[in-house]
Amino acid sequence: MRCSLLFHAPEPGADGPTPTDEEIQEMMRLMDDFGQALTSAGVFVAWEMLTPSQTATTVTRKTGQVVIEDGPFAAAKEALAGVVVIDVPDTEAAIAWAEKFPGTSYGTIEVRPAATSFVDGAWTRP
Amino acid sequence: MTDPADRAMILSRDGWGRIIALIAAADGDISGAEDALSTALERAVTAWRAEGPPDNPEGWLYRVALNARRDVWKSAAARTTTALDDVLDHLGSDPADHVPDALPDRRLELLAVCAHPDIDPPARALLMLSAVMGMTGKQIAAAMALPAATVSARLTRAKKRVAALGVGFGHPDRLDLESRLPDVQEAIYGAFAIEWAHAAPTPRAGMVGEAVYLAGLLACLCPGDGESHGLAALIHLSAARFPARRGAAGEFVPLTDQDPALWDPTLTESGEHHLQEVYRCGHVGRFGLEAAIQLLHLAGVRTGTTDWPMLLRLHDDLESLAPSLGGSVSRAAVLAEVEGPEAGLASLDALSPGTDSGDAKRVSAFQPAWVLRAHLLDRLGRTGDAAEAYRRAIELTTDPAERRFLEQRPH
Repeated sequence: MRCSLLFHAPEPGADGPTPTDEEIQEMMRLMDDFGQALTSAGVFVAWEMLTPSQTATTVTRKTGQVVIEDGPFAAAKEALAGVVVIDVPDTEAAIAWAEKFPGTSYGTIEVRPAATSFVDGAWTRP
Repeated sequence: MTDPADRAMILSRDGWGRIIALIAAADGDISGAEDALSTALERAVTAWRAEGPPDNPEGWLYRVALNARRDVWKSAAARTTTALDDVLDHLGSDPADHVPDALPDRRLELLAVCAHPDIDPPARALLMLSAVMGMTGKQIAAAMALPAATVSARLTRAKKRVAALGVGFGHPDRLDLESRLPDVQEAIYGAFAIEWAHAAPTPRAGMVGEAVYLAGLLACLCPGDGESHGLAALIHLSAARFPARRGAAGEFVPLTDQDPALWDPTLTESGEHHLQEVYRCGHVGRFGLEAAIQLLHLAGVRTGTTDWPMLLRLHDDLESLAPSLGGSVSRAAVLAEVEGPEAGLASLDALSPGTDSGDAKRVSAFQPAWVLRAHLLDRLGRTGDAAEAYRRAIELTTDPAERRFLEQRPH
């Protein structure tokens, strides 16, 4: 079963102390440990950490024509900061991994099973 | 290490917490006390190098720190209505001639304040490390594998809360202190236990040394409290096994396969000593029982014969005193040794999901329950079921070393 661990964290520059280079290095080391553990367990699919939501571009055609806009719509305190996709037997196993995600010390992980995934050119049901 | 000034500085470390506690006791301002100690330490570096270390480094540091703090109080008193005399009264006579042992020890009060109900539970241990051990936010962050920014934010908030409690803790109510002890113990235990659950490829020594120190300190400050000794015994005995938990290649080594020669003899000895103190105090609580269980397991590995019936009795006591999912699973493992694997399995089955065993986590997602189930099924010759249970246990295992260990089992 594919499951996305959606990591929400305070945006850089939000209130609160800015992490130093050393602190960032430290967190990267912990994140690396987590990635290695996922890989060695054979559950790893993909992991992206995202640039701040200010860099986002939104695209919609809801009004009938293509509208491309810069930036986020809501000034939320926390924003989507990363996505880890894992392939595990069930939600319980996904939660076991989410508990070990180092970023939970400053953000929140949302565990979302995939409803369906497009893999190797076709839709696959879990 | 040859510089006498450096040596004096290292030796004074044990007194830092006492100095912070004593100064903070006057007005409840831990940050202020820490700043005062920092000032004193800065001055000491220069002064001790130039003139040689004083005969009584701790007294020297206390005097200088107190003077630095007084300067702040005086300027505060000039601006506000802070009753300086009240504050100074807490500190008693002029401490200029104090010898370290004569300094009143307020560290127990300080620990109790750190575990105050108004302080967020995750911040309690951080506060203790900062206030009682004089660790910096950065050191604490490194030890606990937390981002330093998180630690400093939590510490700042917690110290503000303490200051907002409004009073110094120089005149504590004895009863109140006793009612806080369980929270103090829980915070120290929590700081220790977090390390055992970490998903790093190799276990980090992390908080072990600090938790050993805090637990030992608490037992020393409360010599008549059985549970404080119980906690110290549990943490010493668990920490003693730390070097034996991983093999030369970083592989997982279960307790029964550990080499007792790798256990730290000083820590096991202290653990045994604290456990004797538990019985001397005549009160055996949750931590005391867990320590006794640990010691019986260690003795079993050492001698090759484990007293399973005694272990079962201890687990029964623990279950009635402080039920937990982890405790119930351990009890099932012991029961299997006493009455056979079927009894162990039946006991596991009885832990059905939804049973309120004092643990929010469900049995079906509890990895140790699956490891035990697989092991018991194996012993009953039900290899198919065992393989199924091993598969589930592996699915729920996030620690790479333990995962490899489970995968290598014959099944």
